[in-house]
Amino acid sequence: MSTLEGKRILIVEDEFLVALTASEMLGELGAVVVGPAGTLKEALELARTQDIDLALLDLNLYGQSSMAVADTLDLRRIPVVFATGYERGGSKDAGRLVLGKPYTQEKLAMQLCRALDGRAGRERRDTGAGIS
Amino acid sequence: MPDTVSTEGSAQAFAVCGIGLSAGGLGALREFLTHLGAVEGTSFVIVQHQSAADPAHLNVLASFSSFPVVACEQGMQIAPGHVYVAPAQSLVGIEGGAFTVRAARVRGAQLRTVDYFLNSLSARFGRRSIGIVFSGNSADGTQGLISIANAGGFTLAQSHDTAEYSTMPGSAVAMGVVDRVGSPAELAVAFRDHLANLANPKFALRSLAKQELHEICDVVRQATGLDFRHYKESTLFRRVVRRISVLHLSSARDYIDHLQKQPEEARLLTRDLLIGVTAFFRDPDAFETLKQKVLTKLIADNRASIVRIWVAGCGSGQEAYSLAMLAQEVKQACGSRQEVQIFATDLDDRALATARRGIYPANIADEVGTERLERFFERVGRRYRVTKELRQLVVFSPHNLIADPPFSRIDLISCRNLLIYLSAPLQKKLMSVFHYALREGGYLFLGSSEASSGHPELFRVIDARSRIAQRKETVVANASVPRVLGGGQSNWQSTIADDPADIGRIAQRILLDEFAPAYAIAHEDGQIVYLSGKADTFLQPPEGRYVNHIVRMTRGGLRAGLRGAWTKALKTKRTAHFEGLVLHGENGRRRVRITVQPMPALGENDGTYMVVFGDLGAAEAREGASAVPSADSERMVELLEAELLRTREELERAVQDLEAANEELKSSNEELLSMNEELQSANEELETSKEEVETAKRALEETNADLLNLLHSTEIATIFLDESGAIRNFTPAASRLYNLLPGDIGRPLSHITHNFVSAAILPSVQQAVQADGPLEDEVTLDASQTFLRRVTPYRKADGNAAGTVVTFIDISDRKLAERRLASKDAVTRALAECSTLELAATRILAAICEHWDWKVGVLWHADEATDSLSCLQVYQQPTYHAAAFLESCQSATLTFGDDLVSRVWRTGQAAWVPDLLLERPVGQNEAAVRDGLRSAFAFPIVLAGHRLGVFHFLDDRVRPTAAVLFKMSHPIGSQVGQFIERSKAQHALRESEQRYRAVVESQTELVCRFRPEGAILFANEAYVRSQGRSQEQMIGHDFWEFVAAQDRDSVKQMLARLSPVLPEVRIENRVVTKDGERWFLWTNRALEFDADGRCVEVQSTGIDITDRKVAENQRQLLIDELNHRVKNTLAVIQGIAHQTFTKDASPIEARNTFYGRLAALGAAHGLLAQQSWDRIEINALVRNALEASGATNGRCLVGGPPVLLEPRHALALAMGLHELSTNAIKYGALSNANGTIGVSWTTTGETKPKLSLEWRESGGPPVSSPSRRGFGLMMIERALGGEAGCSVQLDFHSTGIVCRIEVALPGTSTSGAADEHA
Repeated sequence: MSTLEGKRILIVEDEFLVALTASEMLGELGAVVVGPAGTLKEALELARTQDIDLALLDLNLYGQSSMAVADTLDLRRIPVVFATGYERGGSKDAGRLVLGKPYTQEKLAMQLCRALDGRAGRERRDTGAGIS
Repeated sequence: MPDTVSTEGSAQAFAVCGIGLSAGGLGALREFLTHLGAVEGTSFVIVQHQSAADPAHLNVLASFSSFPVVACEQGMQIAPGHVYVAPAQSLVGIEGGAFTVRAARVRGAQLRTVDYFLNSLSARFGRRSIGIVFSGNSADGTQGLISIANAGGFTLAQSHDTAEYSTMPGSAVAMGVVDRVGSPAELAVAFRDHLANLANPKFALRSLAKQELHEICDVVRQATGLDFRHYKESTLFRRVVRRISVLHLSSARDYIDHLQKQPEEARLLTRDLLIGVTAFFRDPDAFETLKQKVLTKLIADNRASIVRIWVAGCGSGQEAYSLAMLAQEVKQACGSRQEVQIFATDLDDRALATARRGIYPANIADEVGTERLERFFERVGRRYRVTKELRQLVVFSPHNLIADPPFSRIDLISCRNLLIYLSAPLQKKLMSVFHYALREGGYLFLGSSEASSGHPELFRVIDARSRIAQRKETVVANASVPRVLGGGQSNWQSTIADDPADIGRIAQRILLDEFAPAYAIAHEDGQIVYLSGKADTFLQPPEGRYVNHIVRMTRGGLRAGLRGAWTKALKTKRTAHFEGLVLHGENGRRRVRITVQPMPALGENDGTYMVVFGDLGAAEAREGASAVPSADSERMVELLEAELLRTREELERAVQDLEAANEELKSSNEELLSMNEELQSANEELETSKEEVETAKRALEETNADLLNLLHSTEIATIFLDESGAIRNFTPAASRLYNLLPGDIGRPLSHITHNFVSAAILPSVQQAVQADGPLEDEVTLDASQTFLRRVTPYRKADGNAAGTVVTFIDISDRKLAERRLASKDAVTRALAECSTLELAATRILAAICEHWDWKVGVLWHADEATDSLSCLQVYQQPTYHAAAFLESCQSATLTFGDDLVSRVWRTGQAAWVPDLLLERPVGQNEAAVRDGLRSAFAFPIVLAGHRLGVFHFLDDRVRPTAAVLFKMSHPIGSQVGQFIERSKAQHALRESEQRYRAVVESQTELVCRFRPEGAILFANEAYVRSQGRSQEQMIGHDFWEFVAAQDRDSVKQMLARLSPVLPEVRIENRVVTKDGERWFLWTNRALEFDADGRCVEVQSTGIDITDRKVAENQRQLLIDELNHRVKNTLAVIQGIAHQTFTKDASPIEARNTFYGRLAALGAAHGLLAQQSWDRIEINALVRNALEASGATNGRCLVGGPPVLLEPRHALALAMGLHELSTNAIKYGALSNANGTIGVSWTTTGETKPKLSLEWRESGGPPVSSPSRRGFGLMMIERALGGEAGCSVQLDFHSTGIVCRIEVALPGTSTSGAADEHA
């Protein structure tokens, strides 16, 4: 399994406390946090421009979907993990790795590592929701 | 008897010989033809059973025949000098000189082709027909030979010792019809002889001298002991001629010679003479009568002694068996156990043998009848045999009726068709024999052409037609028994007991021969018939003409005495003696006693006498002169005797003359007798006709009486008129219509007054005759009586009309019935065709008024609620006006009053008012009378005890009660009642149906019925409405059209689960409606299954659950949202915790801080929840945050304009305010007792509105800038600072902390952001 050591991870999260916590957790895991971005505009900018290994996206940014960010990252073949409070993923995030809020550091690391191992992540996408 | 072939028109006659043969017959035929050689004037027709007339066969025949051999063909003419061969299996006949050939239908033993041909031959050729039967194995040919014999032809048959199979010829021989029996060679000779005879033109025996017949009879008598002299000459003649013909003799003389030389011939002739036609139940009516009148009486009595029946002249037994059958039948019918014995006798031994065998040909079936055939016969091959039961009843025996002594104590003598062959005297004689033989009251049964009526003293006629007579009880002295003396010994075994030779009888004979006196037996005419051995002593034939007379034959001396005794004995019929006679004979003078003794043993009045000459020994000289006659006196005596002799001779001559005259008289007498007999039979016929006339008369009388009784009983008035119209006769019933008296017969009918109201003119005789059938019209006597007058011609027996017959048939009842029927029919029709009582009522009222002649009719209808009657309908005849009355009716309401209608309603009984004027003028009665109505009739409409109304009819005449209307009123009343009830029920039903329909139609559930494959059978209003279609557009359409495409498969699967075990399934699916897709919950119930348990019809009830579905989705969304928020909140709390529990903070302080932050978050959330997470008013938010933090209101001044904040801004603001207040309580303005906090805000900016909030602390302890930016500050900065248009500025003034916060207000920044990311 991959490690997050030195990985550049984009965090998109409108709730600053949550973003802050995630940043700290990832920092403790040795990763480099890109962002966090609180708005869609900011997130899209970062997604287009930054050197990113992995992204943790909140689906809902002040009532706006972050799907556009995910699409952008897909184009760059950057793996994405959605963090969400919704029990069931909508049709949009089908096939994505999902991390249910609130999450522990272990869970965060696990899902992100999975996402890094793209093939494995794609294979297990069906069970992703169940893991949360 | 046709004896030539007439069709050819040729004079030359020829004979045709039919030859029948079967198995083994061909050899015989060859021998016969070979021996025959060439003969002329004949043809042969060969009929065979077996071989076909194939060419090879014909050739074989041709080789030994001297004639051309030809196969028979249809229509082929018969010519002499040919041998014709009949095809096998064909019935060949002769018709008009040509052959007829047709295929035989039966085969084998049943085949009778020979009989068929010989019958045909005999009919055509008669005397010139010849029949020969050769070897064969059936009975075919016998019948044919009989026909030929009867036709006078010649019959031959092969003898059994020469025939290979002798059945066929043997059968014919046994029947005694064959003239010649012999080997084929012998037959050939006989055949040639016969032909020669036929060819002899001299042979035409037309008559035989009487003398010759007598001679023949004598010869026959000598040879056979049978005397046929008494047979009718014509019978004798025919039989003798046939024999002469058969023997090919040319004259009667030759025949007599032949007869004398050949004893066998006498037997043959006898047989011919004795042949009688006999049959079972010949003359069946007579037998039936015998059964009814005689046998039943004899057998039913069940008496002790045996019933003895004697069948005299039984022939081959048919008559005897017929009687036996009848006897058995009677016994069975009566249940009698009476024993019956039948003696059947005949002269002919051969016939008796046949009779004893009891086997008869199959054709007796017609005579006997199927029933008897089954009961009394058993099948023996192709023939029938009489059962043993019957044969045991009959004893057959030879017996000569004329010569042998008769039986005695017989109950019934049947002697049929025998007397006709006998001459009248013999008939007469036999009648007395029968009288003798019968017991008292015994019966005599004769043939149809015989009669006992010639002997009224002996028999009384029981049934003239059937010739049945009963023995009279009169004692007849002269019952004589004829007997040929010295011969004709009876060999009747069963009636004469065996006489063992006893000594007494031998002794008597010796005594008679040795010691008895000489005697002679003489008839009463003096003729000596018998002499004893020593009679010559006393008798001496006189000189001169020989006279056979006892007195004349007696020697002189005895004559006078004998004459005296003879005369005396004849006169007294008693023994007469004469003694003291002296005979001068060889032995000298002998004393002689003469006894003349009648011989009663031989019959009372036969006139046979025995003359006994008793020799009393030598005469002694008498004492005295007188005793010794002198020579003179002797001489004198001789002279006197000579004179006496002369005188006597003269006397005898006279007597002879007298006798001659007497003879003549006798013969005339005989003639007279025969005439008498004829008269007698004529008389009998007359008697019969008289009886018939009497019967007819009786029948006529009976018919007459019947007719009279008929006329009386039927009460049909009938008048008979003659041509002039005068009354010939009339029946009593007619006097009701016409004022007729018995004395009026003869008067013209037109003179008599009649009682008719209306009657057309009576048709005349001519009119009646010319009419096709009877002339009919109706006449009315009075209102209630109608008659059908029918006039027919009175025809006499010759068919001519002699007047007319006028009959009057009472058709009043019919008329009434017609009216009843018509009115009932009208009522029924009205009720059937009208939907309401109002409509029907008019028609009913009209019909009854019309048919029963009422002027006005009213229908009153009962109202149960008010218990009153009101007028429902009125009617008046078009010719009548009762406007006032009807108007009063229409406005009236009747309760229980006293008028007719109320009364009828009250009682429920029909009522009639003949005259309204006699009624009390109450209610409608009065109104009616005012309108001129006089009589009324009313009857109720009743059903099951309920009085539903009243029919009311009125007339302007006074009318007597008519029972028929009463009778009719009940059915009409109940019929109308039923109609009323029915329409009520129908009304109720309609209402209930409407209600039901409304319920179904008004419900919102969709209801439909359909077949699983899709056809809609029913859809309710709701369903139809949901589709925005009409009912018609739905029914029959495909159900699946209405199921949303995406749900069709699942619905189909669900419906497929319907089974008898699971008859109902619920399905939720979307339905395409006119308003788009909507969710429905369907309850599908299977109504019907096919044999395989598959559902074929479903009823579905659907409820629209679209709203529920939407609500469910909403709820799910809400839950999802809630979950999301909770999780997000938890993530925030996690963040708070993460920031609060740092490694620097003490656990207790960190915990308290965490609790405070959670409480602030909670308070903010509470406020958000209150506002349903919508915008939050700032004033409330601020106060709420301060309060939650524990900052007392009294030291906090809060103020600003009302501003609405977005939730996330509000949350961040609330958390920020919490940190500020907590800091103020710990370290700031609120940490001492004097500090205050001022929170104020304003809004700025038009295009981008902003909230500017200031937190200003004052009066607290001196403030120093913090070494480290605490969580609270970071919280404010980061929460609000990240946002566009938001900013946080914190100043640590010495007087206290001042915090300025700017927040973008909704409607600008958010929308701007939204725009930005669109």
